[in-house]
Amino acid sequence: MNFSFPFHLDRTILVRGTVVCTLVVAATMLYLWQHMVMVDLGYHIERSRTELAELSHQRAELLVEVASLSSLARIEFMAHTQLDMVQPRPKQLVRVMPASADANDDPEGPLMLAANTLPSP
Amino acid sequence: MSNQAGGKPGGTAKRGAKGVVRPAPAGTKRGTRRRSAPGPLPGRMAMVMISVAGAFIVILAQLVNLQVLDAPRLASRAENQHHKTIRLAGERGTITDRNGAILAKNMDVPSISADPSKITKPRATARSLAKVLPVSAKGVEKRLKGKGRHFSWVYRKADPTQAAKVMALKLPGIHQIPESRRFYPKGELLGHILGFAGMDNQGLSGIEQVYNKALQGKKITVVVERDALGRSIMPTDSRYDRPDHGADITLTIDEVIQYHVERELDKAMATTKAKGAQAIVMDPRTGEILAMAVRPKFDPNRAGSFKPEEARNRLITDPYEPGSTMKIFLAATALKEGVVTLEEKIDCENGRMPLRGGAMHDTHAYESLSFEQVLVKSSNIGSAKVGMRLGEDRLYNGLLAFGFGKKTGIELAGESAGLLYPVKRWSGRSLASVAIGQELAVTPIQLVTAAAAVANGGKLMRPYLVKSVKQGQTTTTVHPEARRRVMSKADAADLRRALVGVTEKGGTATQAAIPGYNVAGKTGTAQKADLIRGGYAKGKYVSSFLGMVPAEDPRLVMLVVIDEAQGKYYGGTVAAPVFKAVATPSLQYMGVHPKTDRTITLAANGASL
Repeated sequence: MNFSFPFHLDRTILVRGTVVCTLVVAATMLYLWQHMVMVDLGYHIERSRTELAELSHQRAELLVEVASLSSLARIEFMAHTQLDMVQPRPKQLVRVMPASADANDDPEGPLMLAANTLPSP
Repeated sequence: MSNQAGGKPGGTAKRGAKGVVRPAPAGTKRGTRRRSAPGPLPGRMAMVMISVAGAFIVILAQLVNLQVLDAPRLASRAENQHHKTIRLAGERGTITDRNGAILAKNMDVPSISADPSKITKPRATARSLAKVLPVSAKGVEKRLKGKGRHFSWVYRKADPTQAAKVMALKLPGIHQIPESRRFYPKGELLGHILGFAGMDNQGLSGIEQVYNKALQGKKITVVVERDALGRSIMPTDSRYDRPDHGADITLTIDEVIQYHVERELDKAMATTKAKGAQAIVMDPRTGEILAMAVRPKFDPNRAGSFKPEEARNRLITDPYEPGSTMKIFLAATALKEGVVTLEEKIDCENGRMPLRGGAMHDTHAYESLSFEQVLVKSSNIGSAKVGMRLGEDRLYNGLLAFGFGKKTGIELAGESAGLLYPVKRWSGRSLASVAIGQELAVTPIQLVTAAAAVANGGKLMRPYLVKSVKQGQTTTTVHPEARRRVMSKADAADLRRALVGVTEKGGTATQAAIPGYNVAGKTGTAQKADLIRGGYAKGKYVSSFLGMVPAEDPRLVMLVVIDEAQGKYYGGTVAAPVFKAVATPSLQYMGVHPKTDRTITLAANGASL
């Protein structure tokens, strides 16, 4: 087939064109690469956020559970029914005063003891 | 022309476009071409280039179509697919007691929603849901129908196990969404004071309502990018962060004292079979409320299952006729005005004193009593006579100074100012009646605040429930506020000393006495008003005890009110024991130790006690 293109390209133009194209492609690839890195970081941040939210949720759950389990009504009920504990009678409570006068200023206050005057089983 | 067409010798003539024959370049032989020299491209190359050019033209055409002709529509679609606007709300703040015990906190729980456009069998779906969730099939079915609707709630803030069962059904168009729900881990403890938050976490009563603005987290709108799978990549706004949480509130309430109060009120309700009961404990030095409880119970976790009146904090909303507890403030005013001394003898008319329109009686007849004994024996006649010495204006102004007839300003909604008529509305009998706590109505918070002034040496404090509000790193602390001096320190000490007699042998509240402590107080037993017939209702009493301990330097002021106790109804027999049962462990807990003269040898000869 005797067909020719209606203009001429010399090698210099081809080489230059190739170089330009390569640079454009390289720049595009660089742009795409950093975009992909950004997207990947975005996923990473979102995963971290989700993890943080889950951990916060677990923490809230545990705090509510601790608050519920430390209810004084529950503790007193368990002390009475499961451990057979009783309130000390007023006379069973003994306050031990510090020996020295300075020790009266102890911020923790005097030591309280419960004297076991219950009959032996 | 032929020469030109033929070109130079040795050259090759080529026919160009449109039949123009161009001379071949010099130095080339026919059929051969120098590689370095420019020249026409061979046919295959030309075809490739034409194809590439054609492809580019097609791409260009499509580009024009996408970027110019169809751009607005496509941009809108892309925006919808690529970006998602989400609303984020900061978590509602936590409420704790003065020692950090959690009283109210938010937690995520599953809510069940539906996309009606994707539900083909609404009736069957509704029936399946009704088997797992506490909802009616008919009600849900209505919500599952609807053309063009894409969202409908099925059941909000479900139990996680219920939600898991729903999701296990794998019903098309049924989804699970996490929502934040308010939890009150201590249940009924402090229920009336905390109040409760509604479905959308808005405070509807109690502290939750009054501090709603501070407790509520900040709401923000964020636009996030989504990938092809709908996952969010990251917010477009680089400044995006989690929304600010609501403020954390620390109350003045002490969980331990509150527990003692609630436990003892429950016991009193059981033993007296009363209609209701209330108690307040205050630190008189600061005005801090340490405990506040109302019966019948109210659990904010199940707010919907209670009647509105059961959720009401009657300690601030419901005024009542206080009866003899008001004699404390009559005495305070009389001592301040110098119209009587505690030692002065008062003629008690042998238990019956004629008054305009009838007579006033004492429960026990006394010939004469010192004013101190008038308080100890709770003589109505002796008190009325002291009231008459004061006169209407001085008594009225004295009670106003103690805060009666005005709101205390406590941070709770719905506070009543009580009822203290101005003197111009008083009848001929009013002076005597007001002196013994009749013809006026006060709220329990007013009474305990006024008593705190007697306890702390004469300063009327503002009662308060919130100790601090923490927003982020900033903590705002509420400080005690003394409003005015209502009596001298010496008069207050004398009055407390006189009131100790009330809990000692011969007084009306011996059951409030606590071994090792001096308890000052006053009982009250008031007939309730008959709201239908007028006058007083027969057999309906409000029994109360208003006390302070230790009397020398009170650390606790407490009011106990028992409403319509059955059987025994005197304040000294039904309310005073509650005071003792609460105050005894509370004082030990607070490190206020009893006076004792017991000597015990420790660690001597076998460490026996």
